[in-house]
Amino acid sequence: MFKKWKKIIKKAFVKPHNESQAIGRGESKETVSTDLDKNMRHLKAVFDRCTDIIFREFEAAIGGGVKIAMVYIDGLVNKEMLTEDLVKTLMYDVASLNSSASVSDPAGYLSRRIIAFTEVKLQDNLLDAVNSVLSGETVLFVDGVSKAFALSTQDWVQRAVTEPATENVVRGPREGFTENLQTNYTLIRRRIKSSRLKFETMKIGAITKTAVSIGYLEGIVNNKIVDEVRNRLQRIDIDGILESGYIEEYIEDAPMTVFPTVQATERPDKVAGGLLEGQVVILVDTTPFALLVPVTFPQLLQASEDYYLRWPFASFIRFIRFVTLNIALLAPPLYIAITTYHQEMLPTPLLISIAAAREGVPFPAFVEAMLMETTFEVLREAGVRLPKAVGQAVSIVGALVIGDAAVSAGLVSPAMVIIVALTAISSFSLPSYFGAFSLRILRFPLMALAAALGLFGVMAGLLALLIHLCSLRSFGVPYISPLAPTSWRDLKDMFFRMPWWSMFTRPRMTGSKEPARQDYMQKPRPPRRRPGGGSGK
Amino acid sequence: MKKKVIAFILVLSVSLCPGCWSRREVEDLAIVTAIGIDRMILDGKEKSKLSVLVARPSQLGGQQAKATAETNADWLVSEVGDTLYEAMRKIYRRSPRNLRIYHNEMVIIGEDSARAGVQDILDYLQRHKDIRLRTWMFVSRGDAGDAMKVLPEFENMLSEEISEILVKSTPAISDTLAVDLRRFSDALVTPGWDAVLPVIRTINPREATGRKREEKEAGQTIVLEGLALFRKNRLAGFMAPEEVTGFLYIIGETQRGAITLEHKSGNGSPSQIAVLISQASSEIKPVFKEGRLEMEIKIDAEGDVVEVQGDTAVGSPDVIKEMNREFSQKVKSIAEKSLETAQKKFKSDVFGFGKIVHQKYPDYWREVEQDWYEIYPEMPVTVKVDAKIRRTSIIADPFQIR
Repeated sequence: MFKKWKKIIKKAFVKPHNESQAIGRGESKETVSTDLDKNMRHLKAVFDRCTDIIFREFEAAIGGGVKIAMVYIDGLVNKEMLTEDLVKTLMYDVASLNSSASVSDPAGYLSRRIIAFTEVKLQDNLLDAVNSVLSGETVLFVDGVSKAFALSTQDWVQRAVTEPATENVVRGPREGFTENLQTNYTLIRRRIKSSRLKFETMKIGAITKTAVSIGYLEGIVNNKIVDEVRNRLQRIDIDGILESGYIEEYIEDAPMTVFPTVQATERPDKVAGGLLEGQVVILVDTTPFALLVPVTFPQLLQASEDYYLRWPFASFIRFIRFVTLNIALLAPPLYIAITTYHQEMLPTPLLISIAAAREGVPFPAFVEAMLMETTFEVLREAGVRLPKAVGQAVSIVGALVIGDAAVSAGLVSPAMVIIVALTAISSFSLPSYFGAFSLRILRFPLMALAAALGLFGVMAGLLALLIHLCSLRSFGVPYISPLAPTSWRDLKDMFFRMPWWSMFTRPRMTGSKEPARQDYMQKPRPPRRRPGGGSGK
Repeated sequence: MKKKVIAFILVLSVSLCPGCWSRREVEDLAIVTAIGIDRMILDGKEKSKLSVLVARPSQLGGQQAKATAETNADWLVSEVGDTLYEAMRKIYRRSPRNLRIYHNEMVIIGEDSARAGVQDILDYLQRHKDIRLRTWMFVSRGDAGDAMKVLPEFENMLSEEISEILVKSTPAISDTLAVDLRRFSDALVTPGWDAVLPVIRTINPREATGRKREEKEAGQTIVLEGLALFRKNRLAGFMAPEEVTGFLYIIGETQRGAITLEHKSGNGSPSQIAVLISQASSEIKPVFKEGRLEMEIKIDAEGDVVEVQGDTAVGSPDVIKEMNREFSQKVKSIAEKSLETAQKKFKSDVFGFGKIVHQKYPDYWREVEQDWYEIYPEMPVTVKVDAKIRRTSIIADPFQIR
């Protein structure tokens, strides 16, 4: 049906990529020449009209004043380090070196003896040199040497590690990922000090060349999942990646569903926990949101704090979360269905109270609910989008408009306000902001079904939802496992959070390669005799 | 792809085609809370009169409601028709909202109607899908429609007041019995078991309280008083509250209730001792003595002394022993009184003796089933009571001033 359209769209918009386009903007594949001027001419041509590129030429104190040029981007490099360690060394300190000895491998000699940097890459290709400059390295050209030296001098202004904005905890680490990939590596590496923790990096985005990194724990992770992640990432062909959301949409299993099959998180401890359970993390440079795959629906209902609190309390919170999940999804549809079709289901005093509250309301319950829910969603969106200083005003207006004026004007019933407020609070109590999105959307079709078919409609909608959830997969893992297919041993970490010493296996779906997480049964037992003198009779 | 589109259209049509069929907003409902059923003779023809109490939500719940309450919280409306359904349809002519009886709390059957037989009423109640089996059933002294004119004293609606008295207060005094439609129908269809219903009586204990519904007799109030005894499907007579206590002892449904003992110790004047029954159970056993069916009833009761008027030293074990005897005597006499009323006076087998015989001696029952109502009143019944005083509350001996 849509095949015709596909062809037309392809013809009109999609141009086949070719090499020159991929390189684009005057970059070329030329090799580094021994002639410094030639190299510089080329680079200056490439970086034409790029005011932030600095070209600096000087003469070193060796080899009879050999000419040296360095290229870097202003603001991406540590200038102090450059001056102290490179320019000063080359211009003054190296004079003391015995430079008369003939050097068979000048490039190697330079990088071994002269250039005092921790990371030096030798490059033959001018294109590589250009890319190095763009990624914040300083590139050094030496007259008479057919190599470029890329020095890792990256140092730019970056946000400090702060508390994550989306997933707050009372107990637990307060660090969140930052926009810097290197910082994010360290945040994970600090938690997992193992050589088994691997990061594979690739550049995605023809123009932005964003570094995207796959991290996993070798031996625990299912290699097929890693291969699949790698394949899916390599398939991406796009001009730019600005956020991990771009990646998410390219690699998710079910692109047309409202449920996220990739989990985005800002918490390094959550990522570390995921890695230990055999998940794969995808880190993207320039965004604090890391992606965890595969993810299941129950995992979206779990907060990292569940594992830090003592287990009875964590289990209780999980129970509350299942309740709020149902309220967030079902409170308005059930209210509509029961008050318009199934009044006999309510206790008499409640029915009379609702009838009294609805006395004089001009809209049917469905319209009333849609009105209120939409107003609430608008308020929420406005609250997120507005500058902080104005945010206060929005909440005041919202509270007055929804809570008071609408009721006293007789437009909506107080009962509906309670339902909307309950729904809102409940949807906020879900730990995954992105998982809660799906419920926010699904509420509306369920409300329509409730208005058209009553409880029958709600039930039909829920069944459809259940079938849909069962059909979803995230990187081969069924979306509602461990519920279906049932894995009894994983149910310990589902409705309840069992004590840590009782969860001695990794989740079956992702961690089956090395199923034992810990020694069997480490339940603490008090010693037979009290320590410190056993004569306390 | 095509299949998916077709499936989508089909699913959509399922939800859109019915088009909110039978949708009814709560504010368009007239919620019936009580139904009264009476029998009338109009133009020499027997008619049914249906009275309903409809809740007025605007007068209930909500703060604005109280401020503007000029009318009653419930609306009383009656119509007469050949059938109850016709009467209901006539009420529709007067109601701007749709009458819904699924929240109906009680059905009150007028005395005349009950005496004429409840078979037709039960047919209506059982046939209607919206009537719940949990609906409380009553018989009113006089017309049910008149009883429903009374204004509630505490609650907003009369139905609420009556059902609260029934559910909350009667267990504390055990002199009437809460019967719902299920139990009532059960008793009516079970051979050898006659039905009872609590009785609503309108009394006039004090002057008008200055409330609304002026057109009705002011100052009336409702009281639940004793039981109405049925024989087969007709009302046979009424049992006084004191006798109902005995009836409840026999069927073992006493929950709590007080008994007053008269104790005479030494030469002093007799003391009045109030005993609160804390527990009572019974066992009914049909036995054959010399080929004749007899009923043996054994009642076990326990009670606490809650009040002593006089000087009886209720703390002493000897006195307690005496009192136990008197207690048993009293329970026995009450039980026998109720037997007298039900068995001899009204010939109504409300104890379910026939049912017990049926269960124990099915062959014998088949023989006597046809003329059970002749055998039953003549059947000897012996009552044995084992009643004990367990506690004397906080103080033992009577409060004494020296």
